[in-house]
Amino acid sequence: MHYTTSEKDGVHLITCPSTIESADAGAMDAMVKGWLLSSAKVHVLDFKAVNLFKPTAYRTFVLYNQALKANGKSLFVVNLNTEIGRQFKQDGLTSVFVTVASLDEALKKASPKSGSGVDVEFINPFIAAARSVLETQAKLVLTPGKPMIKKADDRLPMEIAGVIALSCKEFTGSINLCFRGETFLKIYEGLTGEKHDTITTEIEDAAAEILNIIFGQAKTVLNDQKGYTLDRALPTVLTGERLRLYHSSKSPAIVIPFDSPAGPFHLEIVVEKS
Amino acid sequence: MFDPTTKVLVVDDMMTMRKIVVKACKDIGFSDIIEAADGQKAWEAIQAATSPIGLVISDWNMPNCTGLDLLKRVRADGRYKALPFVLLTAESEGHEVAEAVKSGVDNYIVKPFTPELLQRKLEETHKKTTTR
Repeated sequence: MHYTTSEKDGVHLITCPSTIESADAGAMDAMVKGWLLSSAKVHVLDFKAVNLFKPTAYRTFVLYNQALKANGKSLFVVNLNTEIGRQFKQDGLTSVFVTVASLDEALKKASPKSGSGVDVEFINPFIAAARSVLETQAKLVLTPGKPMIKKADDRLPMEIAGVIALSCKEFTGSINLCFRGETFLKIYEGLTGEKHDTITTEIEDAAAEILNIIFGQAKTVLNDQKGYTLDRALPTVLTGERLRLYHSSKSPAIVIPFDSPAGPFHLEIVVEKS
Repeated sequence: MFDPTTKVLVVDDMMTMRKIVVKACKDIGFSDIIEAADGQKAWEAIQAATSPIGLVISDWNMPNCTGLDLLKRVRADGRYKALPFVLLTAESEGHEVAEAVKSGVDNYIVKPFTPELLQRKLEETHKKTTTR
């Protein structure tokens, strides 16, 4: 293994060899300890030469990333090839190996998130997560619509909703995944292969679970890549004919509509600054 | 790969997710599958099993004993510390992955997952645990 390091424009740059493996765990640990001594807040791994990343080396880099974060520092990757990027995605490591196009982008991303509110940067991870979750788990391709502000007298049809309370240093709020009954039953069939005619207590937790996975994915992106500090949360389910969600916050709810082969549904996101 | 007769324990507080995992396990070839709705019930099932459980696939975020707490109990008990354990999680933040690794998880799967990904992860887990 042959890694070279340099400091450039406030970035600790580590050029990685063609094969990354953990053949000698002691030597790897000593090397990482050396990297951690750098005072640079941003560490970047250059993967230009890398064509093989063995899973045995995951632990070293996961712990390296953890040690950096514990000290308010960030880790990014440049020049990641498509194959290894796919490997990281399948193995759930995209939040450890965050890709950037340049050292400048790494420095920008490493700047802590200031302020809060429902803006595009906050909404986009939820849209991406909803598409990923339903496409993978229920084989449904979604078409997101344009986000819009929910008006007080809006009557958005729904019979079941998964609800998660949002909580972090900067704000509180909620995220709600809302389905019409017919759409929910078709999505449930896509998830489990089971066909049902009505929403029963046995199957209604699917609304909570879908939202749980969407929230988990979005939270990982928002916390690891955009500086948010969203807490874990357990979802709940609301059901009822002509169900309506009232949000007691001063801020308006943002509605993100989706269309799908199972029918339309939507996300409602409300955020209130602490 | 695990022998198809391996007794599998699927742990998740959401019945829907248990159905998804059980179906995927059956599609892989497993036939002896038991379920638990939280970490505490899973721990009781592990101790009460008349034939040994050979693989645990557990959700992480559950009330009344999380998957991580279940993992720590299993690894702390000499009778079960070598039990192959896979965490199924909706979250993959770096520090959480690191915590799972430190606690002795054999593999983890980030939801959502395809049956093909589950199979690959279980093959990796089997390879890892048979050589320890």
